[in-house]
Amino acid sequence: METYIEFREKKYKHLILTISPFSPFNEVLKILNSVRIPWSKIRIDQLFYAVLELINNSIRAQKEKDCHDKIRLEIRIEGTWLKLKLQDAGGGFDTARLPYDINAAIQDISLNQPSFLAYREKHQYKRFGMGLFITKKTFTIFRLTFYNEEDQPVDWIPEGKNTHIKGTIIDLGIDLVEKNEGRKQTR
Amino acid sequence: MKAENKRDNDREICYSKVFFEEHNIPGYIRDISKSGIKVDIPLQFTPPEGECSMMIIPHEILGLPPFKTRCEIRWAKHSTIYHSLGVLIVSWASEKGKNDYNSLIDYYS
Repeated sequence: METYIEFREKKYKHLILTISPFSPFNEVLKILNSVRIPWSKIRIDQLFYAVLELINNSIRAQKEKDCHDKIRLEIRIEGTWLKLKLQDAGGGFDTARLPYDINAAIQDISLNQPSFLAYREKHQYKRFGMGLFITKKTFTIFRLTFYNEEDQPVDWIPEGKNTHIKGTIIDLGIDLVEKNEGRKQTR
Repeated sequence: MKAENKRDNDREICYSKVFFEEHNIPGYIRDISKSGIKVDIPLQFTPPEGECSMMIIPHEILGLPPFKTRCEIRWAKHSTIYHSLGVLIVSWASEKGKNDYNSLIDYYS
C-alpha cells in the first residue's frame, strides 16, 4: 500500500507548513483542511482538529509576545505512521497552570473535574484548557518540550522568568492503520 | 471552503467555541450555516430534548464578544474522541448576536 500525504493534489512523504501568527485564521483553517491522507483508517479530521487547537495556542502565545516568527508544522509519513512536529516561538508556558496534571495518565483526567470549570470561568469561556488533553488522548505519541535560542531542550523553571525559553515543540505520532494480529508494535 | 451540503443552507468549515450553559458543557464548532452548526463535544453529553441555551464564543481574531442563542439539538453521533451534534439555531438573545453570527459565517466563507 502506498502511504503518503496529499496536499493540493500532490503526494508527499514529508510536508512542512509555516504559519504566520498574524495570518487570517480562516486561511490557516483552509490550509490544514487541505491536507488529506486518503489511505488512513483513522479519521484525519479528528487528528487535525487536535492539531488546530495547538496551532491556536501557538498563535496566541506569539501574538502576546508580538513575535512574528513563523510557526512550523512538520507532517511526515513513516510507514503507516503519521508523525507531526509543531514548533513555535511563543516563549513556553507553565504547565502547572493547566487545569490538570499534564504528566498524569489520560484515564486519570476527567474533563468534568472542577478545575476545568474554574479554568473556563477564569478565562470567561474564551479558553477551555482542553487542547493539550485532547491531543494527548488523540495521539499515541505525545511529547512536549521547550527549547532555547540554541535549539537545545530546556526546562520551565517554576516561579522563574523563563526568558531562556524561546518556544515549544510538540511531537505527535499515530499509526493510521489497524494493527495486524500477532505483530509486535515496535514504535 | 464548503462542507458537504445536505441542507438548504451552504455550510462552511468553521473554528469557534460554544458553551451549553445549562449543562456546563464546552464544545467546538466544526461547520456553520445560516440555520445551524455542527459541534464536537469532547466529553460525555446526553443531548437534552427540546430547546436549550448555547453561548457561541467566536475566535478571538474576530474581536466579537460571546453571544447567546436558543437552540435545538437535531442529531447526535459518537466517535472515538468526540460526540458530534447537529444544532439548529432557534433564536438569538439579541439582534447584535444575530449580526455577529452572520459575521462569523462571512469570515469563514
